Order: sequence, then structure tokens, then C-alpha cells
Amino acid sequence: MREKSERATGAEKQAEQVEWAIGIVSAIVIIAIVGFLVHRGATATGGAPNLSVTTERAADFGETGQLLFSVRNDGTRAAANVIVSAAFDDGSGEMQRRSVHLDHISAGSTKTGGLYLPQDTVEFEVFVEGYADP
Amino acid sequence: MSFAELEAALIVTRPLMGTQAIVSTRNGSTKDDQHDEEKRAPLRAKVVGIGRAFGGALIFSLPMLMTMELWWLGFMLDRFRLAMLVVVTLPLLVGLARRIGFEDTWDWQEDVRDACVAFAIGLLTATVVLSVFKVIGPGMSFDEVIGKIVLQAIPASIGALLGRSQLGNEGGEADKENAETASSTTPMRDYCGEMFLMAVGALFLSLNVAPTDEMQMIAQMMTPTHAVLLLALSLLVMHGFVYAVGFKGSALPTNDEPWISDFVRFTLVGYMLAILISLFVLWSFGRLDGEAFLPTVMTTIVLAFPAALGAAAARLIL
Repeated sequence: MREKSERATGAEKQAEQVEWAIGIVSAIVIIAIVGFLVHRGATATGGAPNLSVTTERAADFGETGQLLFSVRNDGTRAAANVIVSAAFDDGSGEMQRRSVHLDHISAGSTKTGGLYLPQDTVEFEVFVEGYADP
Repeated sequence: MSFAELEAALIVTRPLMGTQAIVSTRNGSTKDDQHDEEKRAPLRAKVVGIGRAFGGALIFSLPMLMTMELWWLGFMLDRFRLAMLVVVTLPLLVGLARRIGFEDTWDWQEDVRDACVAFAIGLLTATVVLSVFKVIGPGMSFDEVIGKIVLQAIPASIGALLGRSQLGNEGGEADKENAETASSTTPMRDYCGEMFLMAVGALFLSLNVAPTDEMQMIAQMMTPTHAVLLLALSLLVMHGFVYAVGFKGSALPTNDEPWISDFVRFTLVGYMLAILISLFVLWSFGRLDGEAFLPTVMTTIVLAFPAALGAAAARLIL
């Protein structure tokens, strides 16, 4: 009887040690997250979004061409309602424009998208028109 | 009239039919009737259990069935990630069936069977409701329809298993059974069980809100300082829910254990689970694609707030 209760106490102690070990590991991870946030809060807040667009590739789809692009935000703040436009010459001599709207791009992040341009596009330029603060 | 005379009057001996004597019982039913009833009772319990499972699936998944971001995810979500969500959900359902399934089970095979039934109920519930809402229908690709149904079946199947414990009326008996079986479990198993329930609660609540754009929007509006405050608030609410404000089912603080012990062993670990589950759900829904490390951490902390509440509530309710 005494042996049984001693065994039970031993199991409880062992379980408690494991629980404490998992708890301490969790505490370390949470403290690391807080530390990271405090560090970023002290060094990388404020400022403005810094958006740049890169043409990834152009693909043909029958009578239209698809222009795939990526927009990177190298700033320290997120940008919302980002408008990406392409100005292009379809051979008529007049510059045309098409735009697409991206919901948001977080600081340090990249978003991709696409624009449909006519097949006979002679030249084009892709750029970010503007953004709003989230 | 004495009790013996009353008993004699109530028991009526019927004429012999062949060699078998049929004796009526006190409530007037025959042995044959009793036998039939005994045969019907498990079947009836099964039907009632399945009915409750459908009820649970509907009640617990309705907010998600009516969320358009979740419909969109049905066809936008990467199929590998959707498969991963299902793969993670199935063992979770088995564990849930073990602890609070829609009927009493005796071995793991029965738990696996019940988990499969729960998932099937989730699929059926999602199919019916999405069809009635015209979210799925003719003209849509097979891939889109399947994606929408499978995604919605995940919370619905969890709801199906929660149906018994939350909608059933045998809570008292079940609690008693749990109390009886508790004596045969080990402290480590109890702890793992508690963590398991917290994980289920965290997954369920995070599935509710993770598909919405608001998670990322909130994270973008916040500064890192806000995120630290939200993390602290999540821990505070999580611990307070269970230990401080005395909800039904909450654990009363004991004098022999300092508060820090419960905080480290349960609240911190539970919050860690909420963080990991939030991260997994956000990744599954493609919410972290192309995101840098800081926004990833911030969005995870935002989602971990409801997930932590879900984890704490699961400890109290389930």
C-alpha cells in the first residue's frame, strides 16, 4: 500500500518536472518574442513605406499578354490600397494605362500580381502609383 | 393494502403460450417487450448521438459557413495546405472522440470510427448548407466545390464531436464517469489531456477568425509595442479565465501551490500552443505568404489572442 502511494508520488513528481520543463521552454520562447518586438519597436518604427516594383515575367495568352510583377516594401511601415500601374504603347503612338489594386503590403514583405496588356505592346513601364496608411 | 399485496395485484400472470410463460412486469411490459427495448436502446442512443452531432456541426460551424473569405479560400487555398489541415484535424478528432465524442467508446478503433463519422457529418453539413446558400452549385469546377466543402467540414466535424458534450443532457453522468476514470489515469496523461483540449479550443477559435482580412489589418495598424501589450493581455485573460474570475469549471487556486506554478505549467504552455496553432492556421490559409518576419510575428500574436481565449475556454467547458 505504502509502496503504491510512493510510486504515485514519484509519478506526480516526474510529471511536475516535465510540466515545469515545458513551461520554462515556453517562457523562454515568449520572452524571445517580446524581446524581438521591443527591439524592433525601438529601432524600426515610424518612417514610411518604400515600395518598388519589379517585372517578373511576361506571358502570352492568345490576344493578350500577362505581365507578372512583384512589389516589395523596404520601408518600416505597411502600405494599404497599393495601386500598381503599367503605362504602355500599343503601337498607336499614344501611351495607354492599366492599373491593379493590392490590398496591403507589410513592411519588409513582397506581394505579387499581374496586369493584362495587349499582345502588340511595343514598350511598357510598371510603377507604383500610390498607397494609403493602413 | 400492504406493499406485498399491492405488488401481487400489479403482477398479472398470463395464460401459458406453449411452454413459454410470459410474465408481465410492474410497468405492464412483457419480457419480450423488454428484450426489444434493450435491442432498440443502443440504436436509439446512436441515432440521438448522430442527431446531436449534426446539431453541433451546424451550431459550431455556422459563423464560418457564412464567412465569404472562407468560401474564397475553398478555391484559392493551396491543395497541399488544405490536405495538411485535414491530416492535422483527423488525429485531433480521434482524440476528441476519445474524450468527449458523441457516444461512449471503449477502444481506439471505435474512436477512429467516430472521428471518421464526425468528419463525414461535417462534410454533409457543409454540403447541405453551402448548397442552400448557393455558395456551391452547377457551373462551378469540381475542384472549387470540393475545396469549399472540405475546408468547412473541418470546423463542422469538431462541432459534431462537441455536440454531445455541449448539447447532450447526460453531462452529469459523463462527468461522473470522467471522475471515475480519472483515478485510473496518470498525472502526465492528465496534463497531456489538458493540453490537448487547449489545442482543440485554440484551433477552433482561430479557424473562426483566421480567414478574415482583419487579422493582417489589425497587425498592420499595431506597432510592436501594441503587440507586446496584446501578448500580455492574452496571457492575463487566459490565466484569469481559468484561475481568477471563478467561471463554472474554473480551477480554484490552492494554498499549497504558488500561482506562478500554474502560470508556468499551464498558462504559458497553453499560450505557446495558441501561438503555434495560430502560425499553422495562418500558414495554411496563405496569410503569411511573402510576409517578412516582423509582420508574421505580429499577425500571429493577433490571432493568438482569440486562440488563447479558445484554449482557456476549452479547459473550462470541455
